[in-house]
Amino acid sequence: MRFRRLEVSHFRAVDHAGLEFAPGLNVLYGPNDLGKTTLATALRAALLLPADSSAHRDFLPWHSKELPRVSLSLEVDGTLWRISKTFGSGSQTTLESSLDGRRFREEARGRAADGRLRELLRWGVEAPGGRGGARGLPESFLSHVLLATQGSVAQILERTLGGDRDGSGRAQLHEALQALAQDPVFQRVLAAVDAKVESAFTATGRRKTGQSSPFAQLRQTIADLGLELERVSHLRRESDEVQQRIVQLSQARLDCEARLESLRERVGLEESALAELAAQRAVRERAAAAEQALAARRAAESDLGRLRAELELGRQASRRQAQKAHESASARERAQAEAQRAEAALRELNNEARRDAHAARLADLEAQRARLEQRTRALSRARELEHALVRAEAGLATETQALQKAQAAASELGQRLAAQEQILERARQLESVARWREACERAEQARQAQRLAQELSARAHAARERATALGSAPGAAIGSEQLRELRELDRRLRVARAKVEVGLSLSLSLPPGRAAAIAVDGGPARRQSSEQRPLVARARSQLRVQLDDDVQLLATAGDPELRAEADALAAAWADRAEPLLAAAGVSDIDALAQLVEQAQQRRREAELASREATELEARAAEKRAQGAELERSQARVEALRAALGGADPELLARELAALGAGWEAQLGRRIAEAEQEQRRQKAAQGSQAASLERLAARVAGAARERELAAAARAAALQELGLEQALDSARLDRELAALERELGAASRALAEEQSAFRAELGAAERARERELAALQRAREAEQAELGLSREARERELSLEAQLREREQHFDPGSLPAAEAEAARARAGLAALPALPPVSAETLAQSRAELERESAQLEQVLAELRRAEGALGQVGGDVVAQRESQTREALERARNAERELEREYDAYQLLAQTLRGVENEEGAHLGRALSDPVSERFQRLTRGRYGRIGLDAELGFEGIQIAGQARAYRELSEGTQEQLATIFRLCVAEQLGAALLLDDHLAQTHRERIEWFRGTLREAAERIQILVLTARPEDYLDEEELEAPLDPASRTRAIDLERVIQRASYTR
Amino acid sequence: MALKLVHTADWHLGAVFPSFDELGRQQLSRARLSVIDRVLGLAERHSVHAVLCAGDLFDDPDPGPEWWEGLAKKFQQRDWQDRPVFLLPGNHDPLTTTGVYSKAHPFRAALPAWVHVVDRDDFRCELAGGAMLYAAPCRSRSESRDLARALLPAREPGDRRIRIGMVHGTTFDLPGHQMNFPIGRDVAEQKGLDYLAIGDTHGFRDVTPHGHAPTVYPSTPEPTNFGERDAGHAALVLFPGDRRRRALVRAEPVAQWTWEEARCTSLEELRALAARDLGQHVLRLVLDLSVGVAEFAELERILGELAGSAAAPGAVGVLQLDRTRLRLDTGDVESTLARAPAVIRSAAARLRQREREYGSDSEEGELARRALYQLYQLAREA
Repeated sequence: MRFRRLEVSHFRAVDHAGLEFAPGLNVLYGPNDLGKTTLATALRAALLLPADSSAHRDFLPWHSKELPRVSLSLEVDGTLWRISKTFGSGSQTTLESSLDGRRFREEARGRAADGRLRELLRWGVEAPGGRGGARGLPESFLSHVLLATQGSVAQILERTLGGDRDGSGRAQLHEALQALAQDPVFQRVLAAVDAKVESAFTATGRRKTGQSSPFAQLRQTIADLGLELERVSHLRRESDEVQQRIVQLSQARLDCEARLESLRERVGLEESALAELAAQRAVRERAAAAEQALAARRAAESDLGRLRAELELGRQASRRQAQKAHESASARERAQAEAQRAEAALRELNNEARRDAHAARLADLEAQRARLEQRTRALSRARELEHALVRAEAGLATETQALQKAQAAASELGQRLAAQEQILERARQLESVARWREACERAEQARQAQRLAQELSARAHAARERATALGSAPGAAIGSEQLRELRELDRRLRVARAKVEVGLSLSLSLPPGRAAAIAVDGGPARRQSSEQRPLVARARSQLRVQLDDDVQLLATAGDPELRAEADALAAAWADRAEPLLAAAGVSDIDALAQLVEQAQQRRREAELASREATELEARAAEKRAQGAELERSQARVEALRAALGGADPELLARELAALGAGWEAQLGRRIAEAEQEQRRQKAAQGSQAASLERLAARVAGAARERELAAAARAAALQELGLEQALDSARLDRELAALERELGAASRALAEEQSAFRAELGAAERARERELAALQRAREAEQAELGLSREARERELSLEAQLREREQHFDPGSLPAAEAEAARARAGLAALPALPPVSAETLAQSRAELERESAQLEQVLAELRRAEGALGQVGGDVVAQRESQTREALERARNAERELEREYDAYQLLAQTLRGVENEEGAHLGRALSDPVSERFQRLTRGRYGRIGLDAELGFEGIQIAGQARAYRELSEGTQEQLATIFRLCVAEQLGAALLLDDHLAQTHRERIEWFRGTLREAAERIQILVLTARPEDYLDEEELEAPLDPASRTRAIDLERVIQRASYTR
Repeated sequence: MALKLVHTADWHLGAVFPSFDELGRQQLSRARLSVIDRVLGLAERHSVHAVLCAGDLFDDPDPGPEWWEGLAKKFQQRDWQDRPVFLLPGNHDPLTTTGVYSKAHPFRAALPAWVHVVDRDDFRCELAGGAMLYAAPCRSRSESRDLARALLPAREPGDRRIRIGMVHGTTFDLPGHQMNFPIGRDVAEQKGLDYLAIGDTHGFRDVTPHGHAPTVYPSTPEPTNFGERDAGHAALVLFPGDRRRRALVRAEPVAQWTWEEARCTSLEELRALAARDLGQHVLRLVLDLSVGVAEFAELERILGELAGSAAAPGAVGVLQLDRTRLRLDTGDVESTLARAPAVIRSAAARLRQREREYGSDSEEGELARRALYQLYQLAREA
């Protein structure tokens, strides 16, 4: 693997950079802070970081909002690939391939592109998107070794293959180091076990879940059976519930039917008992009537005796009551006389003259009180106006004081604003100076670009001419395919000729003196004569003999068809090949092939030259474009200088220099702060102005209020007839005197009214008392009269009743009634005992019977529904299905457990085999230990012994004076040298490109020299990219200044020329 | 002889066998249909007058077309104008408005005229010699009603014909089946029947061996599970000329497959089992034995021969293997790997050590044992 081209845009401080790499040693040089490490970061990001990773934030350009973009072309196993990434929002990743280096075909996009690239690299970086992966730039042992960052010596020496989440890096190293070549049986066993493990487990050891997993089919079966079991179990449960319900309903039906039967029996019993009860009731009624008649006789006799006694008592009471009525009439007459006396006393008090005198006194007192009240109110108003005047004067004084303070603050703010303006102006001048200097630098760069463009154009012209010269070589028109066809034609012609060239032999006896012209195999005829012996002629395929002018003998060898084929091929050769051979000036196909190969070689060279010319032209155009900015840059310099005005640029530059490296940020901060302060102060100024206006308005308002209060006070005093000079205290005293006078008047008025009312009230109460006593006497008289009349009426009533009863009473009917009652009692005693039944209890029983019947109907309906439901859900059928499904599921789970155990056992076997291999077999560490140790010993001139590496390529220790020591015991410089040798050896074993970013920062000059030779020697086999500020450590001066040679394996790349840094714009 | 019948039931066409592998499932499902030829062949051989099919002929009321078309085809291949066939819906394939027995279903149209579906509660049909068939279909998957008692008519006084009843359900003596179309044992006598053809139980059984009227389960013609006793028959019923004599009932074997459960507790037993002809067996084989690593290879070979492979059929027709009780004794592994490379032997020793450390009964010990065996196998193949 090697890198071909890197393009970076908007990446941190790099605005743009484009680099072409040579196949061997590439020294990328430039001063510090130019962007070397940024390029290394961009290269790592292109290879490893998914474009949508949040880690891209580190790449954002410092001074623009463009998205960082990286494009890296690399060659892997003879195929050219290009990975392009745009990071951040709207991230994009594409992986393309090319056969000719010009036309690229898209292979994958997004994460698939990253995944494909990782498959190509095989560095042990797991596929993107996996769970549990590290955030940020994914890393592996090989990514660390081949692309290590600056100062990561400890990480290189401590990281091992064991930390990889993917096995591809290990596999690649195994293949490269052939670490497992020691035992074929072991290899086959391990390969078989690995195949089993890989089929069943992920790289992190989890069981695979995809369709290709050996567990997939069983899992699917289990899932399907689980769902089916859930379904049929649900049906079975429903079925069971319905069956249970049916059992319950059947029991309920039986219970209902039993209750119904019992109720029917009860209703029958109650109906017959009720009929019997009606008959008994008639007997009892008759008995009751007889007893009642007997009791009535006895009661009548008793009543007569009682009435006579009552009549005597009534007569005595009537007499007593008449006496009481007479006494009451006397008492009423006495009360009447007292009442007349009280009435006369009240009339005396209500005499008209007395009432008028009293009213006049009251009117005088009322008028006096009204006058006093009016004067009191006027005085109070005057006193309030006096107080308002005092408040208005105090408010005016306060507002005036606030206005004076606000005016003073506004003045102070104005002064501060002016000071900020000066600070801002100075900062802007400094910034202008910086921009002026930057513009000067750009103008200088543009001038350099113009010069470089001219130089590149000249080199492009030369390359173009060289390409033209190389493209017109003889044989260039013949392609490989055509040459292959001619070779095939040649082969077939030779085969066809060989088939017919079976050999001819002719023996010819001629008379003496006669000759024959003999042509052999189409060659020229030669005359020959026969002497004593017959003339013998031999040919491969044809003999032509001319005896006389009229006798010609033609003998041809081989089958006619084969001859025809050979002739046809010969004709084709003459037609297609010979003109080309003639044109090329060669005689056979091999010479032609050599010529064509030379021509192709020249054409390739021409293409290379042409490509180089194109690249040079492109770069020249680029430089011309950069150079075209010269005028603009110069104009900008002038404009910026003019903008400085009279300021001294040198003085400003010194001040700028004093700010140090971070001047840009400091100035930005200073300007931002000054502007912010200025904005804040201006806002405060605006706010103050508004406040001043408000205060002035309030002072004017307070003055107006004071004037109004003074005028009102004067009017009030004038109205009272008081002098204007009265102060508040005197007003208060006047008001107090008035209030006292008013109080005295009010009290006199109240006392007058009270005395009159008391006298009148006493007289009225006396009259009411006497009238009440009269009323009570009248009522007592009436009551006694009423009682006397009642006593008399009762006496008369008793006399009438007695007379009536005596008329109706038959003294002889009592014995007959007593005999009838005795008969009825005997009938009652003969009645049988019956339960306590009534029409209500019978009605209740009947209602209960109806309810029970309805309930039975309901139960039957539910039973029918439940039976219908059971017929739908399945009953016995679904129970059978559930049983079958449960058994199948159990078997499938057992099978899954067996399979999991089988693969778990394979996993355990793989771990065991690797463990044993690491302990007993050859391992990666041993394979790599030799070259690392050998180089390290040479570097240190034998000071250190063998480097111990474990199977995971971790450092075990270094032999020093017969003892193994940890690498940490080496000096920092030696550690970085050991790390570099280790990295170089790994890269060599893999044939991979190696990135060295200031890798020997603490190495002494002498050892630098050693590394220079070692790296140059290694660069004959692998590609090495060195990022350094000291190119002379790796290249000669001539190499540094030599023009670009596309054929060279070594290339010096001046990063100052290829990196276009972002400019600061606000 | 007045009358001869074949009585069959519980074909369960379309039944799936989820606890078997795909091939076994296919073989067993196909056997459901192929056995019908042997049932119908039995009827032809004995020149019976009618064939009574007493329910659960399909496993589902709406089977796939391959099943009802296959059955209809078997009937279409015959010309039995004088030998009617009666198909009774059972609780697995009840008569529903859209099911396979509904009049609108294409299955009905595909049946010859001499194949009758019992699709009425008062179904009756006169058979040869004036005998009468009375039948009632299941209309749901479950019901607590005794269809024979509820729907079949009782013998009228003076009726001297042979009277045959046909219903699907469970006789009362099976606890927990009171909801599954119960059939009273006395119902045949009560209804004055001379034979009551019933279906549901998969083993052959005469429920009333001492009564005048046999009440018979003919069994499923092809067993559906292990442990089904006396399955794989159809009933051949012979009615004597004298109606007062009891009908003769004979169980005729028709099944292709014999279902067997076997447990091998030693390699010898397994060898003996493998020597038997098991080509027509559905075999559930439980391996309850312990074998050494070297013997394990032989065990795997025998099992491979029994089960077959993608290239060759196995010695057992359908094999269901239970290896959960198979134990591998790794005591001899080190000696069997004596000639293996040192690294292999070291790995074996390490696994053996692990097995001992965790204990042979633990899960980890089991894994180590298996890994040992895998190592042995792979090393031998390598």
